[in-house]
Amino acid sequence: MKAAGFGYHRPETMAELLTLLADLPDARIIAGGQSLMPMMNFRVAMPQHLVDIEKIDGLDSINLRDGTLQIGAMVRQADALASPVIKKNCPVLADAIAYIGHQQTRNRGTVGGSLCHLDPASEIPLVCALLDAQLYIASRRGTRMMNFRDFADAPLTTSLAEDEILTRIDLPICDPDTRHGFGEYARRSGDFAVVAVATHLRFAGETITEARMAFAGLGAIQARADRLEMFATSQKLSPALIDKLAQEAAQMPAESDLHHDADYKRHLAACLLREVLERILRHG
Amino acid sequence: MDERIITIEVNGKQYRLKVPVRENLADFLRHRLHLTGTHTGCEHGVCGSCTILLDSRSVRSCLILAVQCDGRSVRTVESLADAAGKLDPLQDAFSRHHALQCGFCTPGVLMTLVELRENADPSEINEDMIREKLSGNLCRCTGYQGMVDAALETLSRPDKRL
Amino acid sequence: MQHAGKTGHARLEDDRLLRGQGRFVDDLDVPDLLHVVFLRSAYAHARIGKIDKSTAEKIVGVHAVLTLADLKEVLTCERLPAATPASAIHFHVDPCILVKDEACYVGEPIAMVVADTRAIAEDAAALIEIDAEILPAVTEIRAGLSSDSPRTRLDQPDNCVARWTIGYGDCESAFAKAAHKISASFELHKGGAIPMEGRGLLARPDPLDGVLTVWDSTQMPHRVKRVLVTTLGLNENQIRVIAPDVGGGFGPKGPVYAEEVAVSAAALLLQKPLKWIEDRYENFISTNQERDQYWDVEGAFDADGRLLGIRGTLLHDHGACTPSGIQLPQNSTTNLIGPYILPTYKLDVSLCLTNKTPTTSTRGAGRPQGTFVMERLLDRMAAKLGIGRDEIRRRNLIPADALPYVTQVLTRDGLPMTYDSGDYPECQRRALEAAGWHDFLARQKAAREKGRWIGLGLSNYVEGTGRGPFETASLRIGPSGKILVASGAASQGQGTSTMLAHIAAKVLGVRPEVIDVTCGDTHAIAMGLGAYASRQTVTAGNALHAASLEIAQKIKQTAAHLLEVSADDLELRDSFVQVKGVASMKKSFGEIAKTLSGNAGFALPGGMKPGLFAAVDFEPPAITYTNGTHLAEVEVDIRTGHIKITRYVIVHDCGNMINPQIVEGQVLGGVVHGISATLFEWIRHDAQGQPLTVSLADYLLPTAHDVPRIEIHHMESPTPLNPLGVKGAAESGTIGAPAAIVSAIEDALAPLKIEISQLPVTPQRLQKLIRKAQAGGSP
Repeated sequence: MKAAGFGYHRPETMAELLTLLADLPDARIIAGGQSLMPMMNFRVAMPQHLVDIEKIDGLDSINLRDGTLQIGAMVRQADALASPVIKKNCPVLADAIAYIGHQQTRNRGTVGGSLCHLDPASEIPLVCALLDAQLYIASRRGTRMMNFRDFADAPLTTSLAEDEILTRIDLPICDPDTRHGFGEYARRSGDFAVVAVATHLRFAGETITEARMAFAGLGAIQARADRLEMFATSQKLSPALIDKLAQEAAQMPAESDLHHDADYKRHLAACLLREVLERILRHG
Repeated sequence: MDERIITIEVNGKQYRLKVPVRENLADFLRHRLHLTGTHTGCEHGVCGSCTILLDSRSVRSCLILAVQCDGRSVRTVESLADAAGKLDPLQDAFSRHHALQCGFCTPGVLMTLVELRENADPSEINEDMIREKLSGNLCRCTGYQGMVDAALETLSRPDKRL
Repeated sequence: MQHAGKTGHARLEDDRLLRGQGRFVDDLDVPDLLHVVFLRSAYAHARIGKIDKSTAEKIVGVHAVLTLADLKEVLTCERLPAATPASAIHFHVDPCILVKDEACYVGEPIAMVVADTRAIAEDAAALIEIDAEILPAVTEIRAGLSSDSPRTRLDQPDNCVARWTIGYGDCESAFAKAAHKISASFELHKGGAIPMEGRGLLARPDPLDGVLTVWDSTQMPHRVKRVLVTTLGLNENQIRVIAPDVGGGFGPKGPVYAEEVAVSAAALLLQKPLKWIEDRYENFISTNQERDQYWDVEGAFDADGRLLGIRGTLLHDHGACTPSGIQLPQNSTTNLIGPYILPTYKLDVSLCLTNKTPTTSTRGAGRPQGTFVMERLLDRMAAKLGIGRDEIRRRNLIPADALPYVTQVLTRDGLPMTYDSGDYPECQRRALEAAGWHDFLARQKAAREKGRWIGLGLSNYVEGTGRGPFETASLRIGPSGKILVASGAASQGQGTSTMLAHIAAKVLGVRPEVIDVTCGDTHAIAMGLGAYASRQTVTAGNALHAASLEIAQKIKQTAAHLLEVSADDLELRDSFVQVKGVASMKKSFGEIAKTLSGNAGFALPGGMKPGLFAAVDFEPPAITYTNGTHLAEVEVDIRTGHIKITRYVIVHDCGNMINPQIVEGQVLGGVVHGISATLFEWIRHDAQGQPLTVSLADYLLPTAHDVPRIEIHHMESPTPLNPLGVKGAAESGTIGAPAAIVSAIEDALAPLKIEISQLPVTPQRLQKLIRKAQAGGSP
């Protein structure tokens, strides 16, 4: 189980990197390598060129600027998990990252790498879907910004062009009027979620003024559940509303996979949503 | 075949060697430096047998290319005993608690626990935390109990032990 | 019995393994070593035509691409002489050394590439072109046994490779007079062994002495040697097989595989040292597994819940060939009886060939399934009668005074299965007490009031251990005074060397550390079998015990001549023989050995026979039965179906224990294999026979986080069948676990009346049963 041959490139500047991406045929970016390397060892992925972005400055910072949490694509998951800035300003992300893999994989795995791998059961894309993350994309052609919705084309498929790289993820910071929730069921600690749910509710008094709910693991890419959000908006968070939302969640589209069928996933989605919302209701 | 010369510190010793770029760190350590204590049990980043410390952080050495470690520092199980050959207290506890049987996963487990020792506050280390930290290392022989006990004895404060 | 090794006494194996200085096959390096990669069948069933290796051969770094046709030059046959005799087998299907014209499972080796590195060999293997005509595959055993099924192998008449009936007594009458009857069907899956180290070998021909040395990750090096002698047409002195440190075995490293012959043959053909290391993907597709059994059974009971009979059918997935006879399903059928009085029994067994990896024993070796069936029947009958699960077992357990107890079935050696020692009711009583069985109802009630679903389950079982026909051990002391032990036993982590050292040390009055033990080297001892059936302490242990006694006696007799005292006045201490109480009157073992090694032309003193060397074959007169009771406590999350084992208590009886810490390690590891088989491991295929669980991400093994702390209590009922009074312990933990855990899950969910009939119990499966029950559906 050894990787097929490839050309290895380790640019030291962003300009050099973007040139390589523009010029090399069939190049893959390697960040932490925790998804790509297993695929290469299995020879499921056999890129002609590997472009290592570890040496590029400025991709691994976590900043608060203009009311936004800015996370460099190369921020290691372990560092994100340990970051007081993330914990304070985007606790749902901190909660989510705690579910990713194991210490050894979080030490290498990056926030951007997980996002670009786009496994439909993974946690970071879930939070990006929930919060409509703004993603910064660079190429020799320039820099552009896109919403996670436009970035995530399909499971394991982003809309990035071959010459582009994700450099930064911007998330809105939470404020005193918002409450978040995160719930996940996985077979074992560190496994990909069977189903995960993340919620973000804004309240005016007891009334929900903005409802965001997103799911991972149901088969399609992580996305907000518009219908559920619509039911929740302008409502008071109550056991009756939670019942209704859970019932709706149990009707969501889902796809079976090798280990779990659509029916079970929908059931889990409903249970997890209920648990998350009940926790918010209990703790205010 | 694409090759690079890398400089790497392993267990305190500097090496400068030519490596094929596709060679992962585990194979590099095992077959080029003959440090065969680091084992490869799955080569896809699940079993944890190949766990080593890269710049003091535990990583799966099957998921890193040797060439990516140019200029970096690696510690493996071979670094744990002291210069006189005396076992690290964690190794000694592993033996006393029968925390190893076939010994194949053991080096990776030890390196995971060394990272825990170097980073966690002993007053916070309890059985749950140890089991959580060990969840990235598969063992097929011991049922994990001996390792948990050895780690509790060595890493945690007495009041956190059983 | 006084234990040779106390808790905290380091195993002899530990130091090097902890330092990273173990020597596993892939750690070995020799000059000019080349690496082998196998090209394996990508199809479950295909006719193989032309193999075009021309492109692969042109890759820089490739030394050879070999097919069966190429190896024929050094092979005496095309198939492994694997057949284990069994009259029930209609036709033997020995594994092919390399596929000739028909590939019968995904993973079957077809060709091999020899190259400078493993990576290059993989590059080249991908370039071999094979003309393959895909044939229909047999993937499900019920369909496979039907008359219109396609055939697993075109050269066989059908898929029913073996069929037999096990049983005794008048089952029909028992059922006719039964007060209560139940019937049940079970689909029992058991996964692979998945040792952390896969298989692998290094074969090195030496032109200087003409010996082919094979370092092999095997449980049975002497068997490997025997197969190599046969398949390569060499003499016994031309092959040496060494099992170095082996990273776990658990059954499947017992049989000999095609790769071991193919790599050895290629090494001879090319006259180069070759190494093949099985990677994890190969481990999932080419190393033997257990997989599926379907049971349809009925139990007949009298009005008090005493068993009158069990009858039914067992269908077993045998995979694509018969590398190990019928022993796996045979164990299932005999172990069903367990520690109970079963007056009549009739089970029709059919083995179906399938286009999947062959099935042979993994830890537990079919026994957990048989035990599971019996224990489920008892639980279900207890529920039907409204008596306790403990009570129904009490009524059926063989009483202590009935031992030795002769059952009415025969074991593989043709002898009646006879339980030699133990106290099964007392074992259960102690386990119930240790686990707080009688207080549990109150705890359960309190938990249910809080919405928590907890349950306690139990199981009783026996395990036949110490299987023969023999094992060998030798002890030698030369003029250096070093005590050298060798045995045909082989270790994959069990601490076999430590166990042997402790046995010899105790007899010779030395510390175990001073003894040098060589296991698993065919040059160290001529005969041997190795690790299977939890046997090595029984067989090799007793062999070495006898050899040690012989040497101790000879040391004393020789010293008696030299010191001019009576042998009875001598004692052995710290590698010296001395006059009791007179430390100054002593001779070292080395001096004794030197004396017995003789001087040219002089007679040995006192007419002693030369040398301090003894070799003993211990032939166990019969299988000795370990037994135990497992109590598992679980909590079920009824929303997700997640099962958490919160407590696990075992009372275990393997006779005298040489080293309790090693015994506990074996039991612990065994239980976790059982937990794993019950809740996690599941080998999946698609309808075409493509394996789907080929990574450790898709094939789940429990982590430290998924298993409970396990409490082990011991009883020691020495067996009369061997001088040490010991029994085996390596598989026992696995056997009781699935039954105890499922009993606990059903107990937790008792208000829902859920019956579990499938293994593994995945959260999805359980949650669906829960929802069905909640919706009022029949369980």
